Amino acid sequence: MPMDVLDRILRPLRRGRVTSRYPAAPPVLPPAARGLPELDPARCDATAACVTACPTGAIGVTPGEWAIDVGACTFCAACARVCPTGAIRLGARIELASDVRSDLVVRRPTGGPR
Amino acid sequence: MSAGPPELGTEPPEPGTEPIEPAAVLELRRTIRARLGRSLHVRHLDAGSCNGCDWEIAALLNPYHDLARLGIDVVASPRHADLLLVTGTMTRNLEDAALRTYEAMPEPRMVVATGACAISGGVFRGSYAGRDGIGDVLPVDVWVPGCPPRPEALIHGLLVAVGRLAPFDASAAAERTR
Repeated sequence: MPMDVLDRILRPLRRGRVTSRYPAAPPVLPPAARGLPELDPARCDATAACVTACPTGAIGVTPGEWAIDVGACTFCAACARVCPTGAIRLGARIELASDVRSDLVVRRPTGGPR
Repeated sequence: MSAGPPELGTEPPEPGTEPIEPAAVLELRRTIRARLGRSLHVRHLDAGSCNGCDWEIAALLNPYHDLARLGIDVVASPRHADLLLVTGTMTRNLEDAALRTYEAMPEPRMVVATGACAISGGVFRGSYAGRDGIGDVLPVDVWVPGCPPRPEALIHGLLVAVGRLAPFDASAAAERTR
């Protein structure tokens, strides 16, 4: 039993380095991590279901263009769930910081009607 | 001296766990020193957040992320800080305190808006009880999106603030192949 206690004490010492190598290495993300919402223009029908589903009103659809304000996005994936054509997917991009506010608005062309 | 385990801290690193590239870290430290004359000192300010962002900031100090390895310290007073890391929407009751915190900082000073709330109000946008983001009250230098931002995203934001990493560019993201 004392050996068991000793083992528990020594385990962290034997484990070695746990510190992340970021930013020298890319961030290690868990599989369920959600990053920047990405639109596949080829599948987008411009139904604008994502616009009404977004809880923060971050998405806007105008003729020919889909735009998301990453500064308002909460990465909740509601847009991806409601999209009838599955054109939106939350990617693995998390390094989104910018020193220009307008740079946080991502614009993509839509492929569908309108 | 002969047998037994080697002295702590002198073991050769296991493959894949070598120290972080000294070049990258040293360059960052050089940049911080060139701009400030010493390490970057960060003061965290809660301006009405849900504490999600604050927990991610707390995670920066754990052994896994270990912010201090990059030459960045979290300090307990705005008077010691170069950079104000603000979370929350800037509620009405905290406006005065936030302004006084900012004014207590010595020059040069930077403000980083952390999370969707601090940038745009997030899910609290349009609330009677606060502003839509801290930008109405404080001059923001860097915006860090996320709800909350991952610790890596916060590190990225801090490094953008010291001019270490390239900021997020939406047009480049749009052109990026999926």
